[in-house]
Amino acid sequence: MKAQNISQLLKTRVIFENELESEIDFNTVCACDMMSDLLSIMSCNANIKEHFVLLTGLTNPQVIRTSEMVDIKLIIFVRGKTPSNETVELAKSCGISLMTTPYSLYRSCGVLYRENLEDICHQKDSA
Amino acid sequence: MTDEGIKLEFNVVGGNFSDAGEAASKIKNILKQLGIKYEIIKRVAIASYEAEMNIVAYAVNGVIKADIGTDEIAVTATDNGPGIPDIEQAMREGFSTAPPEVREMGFGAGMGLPNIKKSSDWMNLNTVLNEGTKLEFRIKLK
Repeated sequence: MKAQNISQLLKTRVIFENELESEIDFNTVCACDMMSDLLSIMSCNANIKEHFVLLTGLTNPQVIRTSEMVDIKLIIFVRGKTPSNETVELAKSCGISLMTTPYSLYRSCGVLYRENLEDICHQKDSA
Repeated sequence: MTDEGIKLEFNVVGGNFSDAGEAASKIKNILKQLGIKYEIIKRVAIASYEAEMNIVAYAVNGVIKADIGTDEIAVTATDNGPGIPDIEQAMREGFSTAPPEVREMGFGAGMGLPNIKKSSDWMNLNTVLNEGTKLEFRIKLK
């Protein structure tokens, strides 16, 4: 699913869009506020090549740094949160697109799950 | 390691969360330029980033050295932090002594050292209480 479609589904406001990546097909989602968890998931799945979306309530620059390490290209902040200028500038320098949705983390996950986007841990079938 | 490898060195300042991750980012970008496989770069990036965050979170300052050879990358993270009282405990997933400001940034879940171990092919940890810690890890590049 393209970032534009995800944006429409979650009624987002686009904070920064890396137009060079606008054709990426996102098919996987990770939802978490613990960057440690994100790194842990990725350290167990370093061969994951799908492009995935990060849904989070954290807005500090470390979210961008962590995303850069694991090649996340799209971050969506939930509950209408807006990151600081420092966070946005770092995202621009890393080429990571940023959006903010008025939806909660739970609702955002539900909307994307309904559209058949996969869980980063690939547990959908065994749930 | 070969003598022809690329040697990198980064000073890391404790408590400077604004710049935390810069060393890992530079190591990652150099590996990309060298055409190293995607999943290997990710493992190096995760381990380097966790090591760098540990210095920022716990030490006054530290140094990260990366030696990129033909067959593997060797990374050493040395700091003058408080040392680790119980390595076995620190290696257990979920154990953390991270201060609140680190947890607010989404870290301090007690996953750092286990993540480094999982991401690397070899890891060694030497620590002396009230003197510092030296963490080494190696990852094969092929």
